[in-house]
Amino acid sequence: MTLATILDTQPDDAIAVIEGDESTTYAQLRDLVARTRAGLVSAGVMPGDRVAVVCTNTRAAAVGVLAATSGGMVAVLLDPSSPVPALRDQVETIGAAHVLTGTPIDGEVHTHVSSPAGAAVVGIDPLPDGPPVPAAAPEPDDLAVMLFTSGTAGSPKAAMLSHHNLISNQDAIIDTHGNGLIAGSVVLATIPISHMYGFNISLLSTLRVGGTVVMADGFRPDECVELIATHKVDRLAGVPPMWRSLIDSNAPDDAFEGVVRIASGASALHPRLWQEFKDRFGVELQEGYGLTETSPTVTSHIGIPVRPGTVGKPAPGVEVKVVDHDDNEVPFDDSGEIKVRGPGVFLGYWENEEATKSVLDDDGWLATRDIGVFSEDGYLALVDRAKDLIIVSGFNVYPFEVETVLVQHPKVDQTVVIGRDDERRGERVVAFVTVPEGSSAPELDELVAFCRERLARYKCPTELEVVTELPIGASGKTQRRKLS
Amino acid sequence: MALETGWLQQPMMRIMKPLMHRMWNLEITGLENIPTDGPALLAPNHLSFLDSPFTMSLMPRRTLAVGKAEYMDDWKTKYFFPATGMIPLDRSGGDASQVALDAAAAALDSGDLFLIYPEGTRTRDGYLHKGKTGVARLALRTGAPIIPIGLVGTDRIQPPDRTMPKFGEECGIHIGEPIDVSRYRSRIDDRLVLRQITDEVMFEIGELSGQTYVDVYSGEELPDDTPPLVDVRDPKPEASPAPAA
Repeated sequence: MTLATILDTQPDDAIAVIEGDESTTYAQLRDLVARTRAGLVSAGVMPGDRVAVVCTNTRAAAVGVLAATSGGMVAVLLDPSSPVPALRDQVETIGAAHVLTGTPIDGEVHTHVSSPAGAAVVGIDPLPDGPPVPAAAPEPDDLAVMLFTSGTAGSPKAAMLSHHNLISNQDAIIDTHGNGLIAGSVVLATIPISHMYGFNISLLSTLRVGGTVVMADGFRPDECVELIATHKVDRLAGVPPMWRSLIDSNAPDDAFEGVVRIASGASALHPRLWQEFKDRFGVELQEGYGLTETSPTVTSHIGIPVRPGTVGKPAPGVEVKVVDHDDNEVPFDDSGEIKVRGPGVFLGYWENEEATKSVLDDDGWLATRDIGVFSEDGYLALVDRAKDLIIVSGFNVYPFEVETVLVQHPKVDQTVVIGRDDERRGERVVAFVTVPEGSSAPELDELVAFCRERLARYKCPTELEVVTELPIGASGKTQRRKLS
Repeated sequence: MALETGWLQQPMMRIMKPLMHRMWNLEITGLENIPTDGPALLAPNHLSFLDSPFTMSLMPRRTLAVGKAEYMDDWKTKYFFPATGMIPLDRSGGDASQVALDAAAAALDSGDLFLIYPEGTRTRDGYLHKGKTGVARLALRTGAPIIPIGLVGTDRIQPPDRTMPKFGEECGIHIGEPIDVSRYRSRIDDRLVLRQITDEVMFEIGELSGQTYVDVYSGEELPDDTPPLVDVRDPKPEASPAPAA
């Protein structure tokens, strides 16, 4: 199977996409995809050409991607919230032949992106059209999709994913025994489709099983709750800041009554937040782990009991190991870098062999730069990003561990911990905190005393900065670099 | 009736301690951190063959440690070592490390001090090496606090290539504040807990011994980016306030 045939077997009258008040059946979606593909071909776009898709979570995004991939072209998903110069650079980097945009940002992108990049910019709504052309028949290993990521190897690069990468990873979350996706699933797509989770899990996997994707353009707690109730959503995925705002919202306690699975990813889910969500809504969030470079699922809680503080177990067909600096697997109670191998592991970074070689070895193992620890019974816990690791006098300090303690302090609402250069100890621990409403700002001494009861001495912050807000990116990840 | 392990230790200490002070320039700090009763794990860095006799004979009460069963085959050590606190390691019961942990737990359960080297073996390069998790396991199992100890200069008194100690050298035994592991007990299923306790112990040992820490086990090759050996002690170590008694 390839992305070109992903819609072929679904019942005509089943609902594929709901956007606002409009529902689109699979028959209608297939027609829209075929017409858009025809439009691209008649505009001279050839198999193998890159087609940039710059859309928020809309039906147009689904149509654009499937039109390009079913025409043998390469769909490149760009984050519409990126600054225009960044979008322009990305369009240029991948040498896009065409840019498909959703209407909300059409004009701006058209003005700023089209001319320097030399790409034709076409709004998807109304659709490009042309004489019908049959779907192409790409090989499973052909390049299908690219997404920009800065996750594993520094500055943004386009990760190349084949049809097989994406299809095989969908298999990991489509199942018949646990609470993975099944025909008839109704999935709320809150994570941007320009990110791998929103793209391959929320969107493509749901369409592949014949489920319904409910498009949410951005996240607002009240809208999220309303969409769940209106469309009987039974699955959704999100990021920790979403869970926090849902807990703090006036959503009814039974808002998630009919929901069978809520996946959490992108950034670490603090066990306290997990517990608060469970206490508030009676639902156990299922933390998973994945990367753009792995299409994305590496581990999940599908089909196994939820263990908070862990990201579950490796998905079927995905090999995961935790290694030391010599690439030897570490014992169960030791932490090390997580490496991943499997059919979902990407082809490499677009025209960047050096970056590819820095993360992908000859045996197919991807170096994730994430640090984890395996339990004896196979659950993986994420410790932190290797690049976020703080080393004090040679000892590892994982920011997540310190943050988990700091957020328990009554004068701390949210926190991010980073390392700063220190002449004597290599690095020192610096805490950025926001203060809950109605509370006074904490002093460093009181936070240190609080931490000292719970943490080793070298893990306690030696510097404190009280801020009004922390920088959170579109995918829910804390942008630590903005703090250092 | 068989004599109790360590029966000779305290009488010998009364003789040895003044002699040791005459033979070497000893600096002992933090003795008040040794609890007057109840179990505790003594966790020093490991530089020299002399570390055990020095540490054990300077403690104010009985201190036990496990030793190789081979010592029991040699008439020179067969009686002397157990009399001074060595619990011979009986490997016939199966897994040697489990047997050692059981022996240690039994000593702690009876309220004794117990000496264990987190690094496992002597450092050959002067660095403080990654700790093994046995000390953390024992502390969680028995509830005994861990007392980090920084030894300085025992390797100058008896380097690995010498059979006889050199006299007149300086040597420091710095005893840190007890690490209470009870705060980790609620996380006993957390796989990282053992490593976190162990690292906490190694950090405090490093603060007391002044060694540079490397995150590889003793005997393993040092990583390329290993920093040079420098004294990392605080200018005023928090945990070594008292001069020798």
